[in-house]
Amino acid sequence: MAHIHLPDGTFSIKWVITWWIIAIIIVGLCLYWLKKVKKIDNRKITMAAMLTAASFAIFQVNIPLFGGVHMNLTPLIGILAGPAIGGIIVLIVNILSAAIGHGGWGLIGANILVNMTEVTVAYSIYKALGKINLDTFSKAGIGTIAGLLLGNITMILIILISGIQGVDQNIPNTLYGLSILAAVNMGVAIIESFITGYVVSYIMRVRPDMLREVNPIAATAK
Amino acid sequence: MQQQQSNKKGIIIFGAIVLIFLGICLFAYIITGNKGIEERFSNAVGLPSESEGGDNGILGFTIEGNHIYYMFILALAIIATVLIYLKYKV
Repeated sequence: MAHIHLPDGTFSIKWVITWWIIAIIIVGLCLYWLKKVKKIDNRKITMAAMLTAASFAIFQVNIPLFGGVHMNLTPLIGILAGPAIGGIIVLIVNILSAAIGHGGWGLIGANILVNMTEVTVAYSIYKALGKINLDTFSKAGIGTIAGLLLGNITMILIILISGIQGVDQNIPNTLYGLSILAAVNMGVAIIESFITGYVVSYIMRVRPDMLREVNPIAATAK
Repeated sequence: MQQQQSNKKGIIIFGAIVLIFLGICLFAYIITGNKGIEERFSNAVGLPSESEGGDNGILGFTIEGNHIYYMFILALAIIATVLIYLKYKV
């Protein structure tokens, strides 16, 4: 997963406020969508609660791979809950994470944008791949890798646009360093793609109604 | 038959993507060496390296941030989830 693991103070206050405002607008649009366009039902509320707890629980665990990495299940959130509910979930998980000292408060806005990219891309790719008739595991796995790749690219862009306070490293060197970091992150994306693939396949087998938004035909056929 | 073919096609595409990114990841890991995520980040953006020594956790798995707050918030989240599940019975 992609997450800006930098302490408070690395971004200037101008950029902290900018990313926060954009994040608030996006989360506001998610809330508006859920209130006015696609009303949230009991099934989605329960799933959102489960996904929030699972994402928070797993995100704080430092996995001893490639020197230490994290997962946060954002592609799974996207596929199971959709981008609108996903936006609310990533907001809550980022705030709770900052509350326990994992990640800076000032970076929550930027991290919401990174996580929203992962949620939205995974959801969109999973849904789009349904049209070319791939199996559920592969669709979820490919969606996860695509989501996390785009999340890493968003993370790099946010850092390059914001700049790092008190550092005189030039942009090409920062881009090189972050690209290498993103490449290592993609190793974690592979693990996360298997987890997402297995979880979505399992749910598709036992509760296809929970996936009716992204798999309308399969869900009604069962 | 058609289902089996779509399964095969999906697994081949997914497997190819996995192999590509696994290769890229291992190449990047060899370049940078064994570093924690915070140290890797600090190095990438030119900040001084942060030491991540100390807690070895269970089999290398450690918890970020304050452990007591983590357990407390996680317990609240699980209780809230169970209550919502019982209320809506989905």
